[in-house]
Amino acid sequence: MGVVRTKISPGDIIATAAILLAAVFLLAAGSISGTDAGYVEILIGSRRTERFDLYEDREIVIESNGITLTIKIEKGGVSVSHSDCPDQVCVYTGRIEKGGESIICAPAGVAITITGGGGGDVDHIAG
Amino acid sequence: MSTISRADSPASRAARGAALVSAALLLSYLESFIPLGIFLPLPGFRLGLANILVMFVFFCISATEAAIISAVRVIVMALLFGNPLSFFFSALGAAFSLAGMFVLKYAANNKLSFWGISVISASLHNIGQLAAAAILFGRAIISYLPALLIASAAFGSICGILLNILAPKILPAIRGGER
Repeated sequence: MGVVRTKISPGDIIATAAILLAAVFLLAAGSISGTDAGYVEILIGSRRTERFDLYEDREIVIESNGITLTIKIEKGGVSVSHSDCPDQVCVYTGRIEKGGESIICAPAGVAITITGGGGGDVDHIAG
Repeated sequence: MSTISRADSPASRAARGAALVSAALLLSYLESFIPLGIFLPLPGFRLGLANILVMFVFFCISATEAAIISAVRVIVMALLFGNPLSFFFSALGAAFSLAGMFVLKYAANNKLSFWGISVISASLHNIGQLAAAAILFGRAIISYLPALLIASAAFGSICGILLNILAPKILPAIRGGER
């Protein structure tokens, strides 16, 4: 049966460093490949998806799991301007505008993602 | 660090288990009030205080008891404060975390203190929750992974170092003053 020490050992430092390195590596890898931005895709409760043009300003109110969210599409970016949810993470995430970025409201079960699309003259950039 | 003898009676183990589950629930409940969202807008992210307890039980009492306590905590929290969605996230996270502890128990014999175990189990817990979210919300959410790992390393370190300090002090109390 393995026994655990309570004194800090080199293994701890290695483990922590490994996780941090993995994070940095993923960050670097993620920023190299990105998708283009054209649409705002809102996934509600993993069953319904609504799609809006990213470049058409509008305000959308949706309700999911008893929580009401106010989503603002403005000047090529999306943000959640108001939410009833208890942790407000979706509001604090702020404004997103790049393809692949997303705002999630876990209590409401809502995911707002910026996806590609747009006109036929846009080439798909391989990541 | 010695382990607790398993020669206790079923009754005393039941009582101890109940007390530990209550403590775990209390930790989960209290930490849900801390609005981490302001500093770190990561959906479903928590300090992971209950993990301190689960790790302690896992390595100093019994792995099975730790697994049961973790499962009961997830279920009761979901019943009282959550919904089927949060239960799914929580359950997958806890499962990943426990699996990691099982592996560490046999693989990292004496090479890690609670700090390393905490960082790894916290990271696995959050990866599990992210995986659950990815299943439901799609692959876009994986973009949260780097920030999540950094936060797991940070808070996991705090919890682990805390347990390093606390464990030798708690152990005699749970033994009931023997020895």
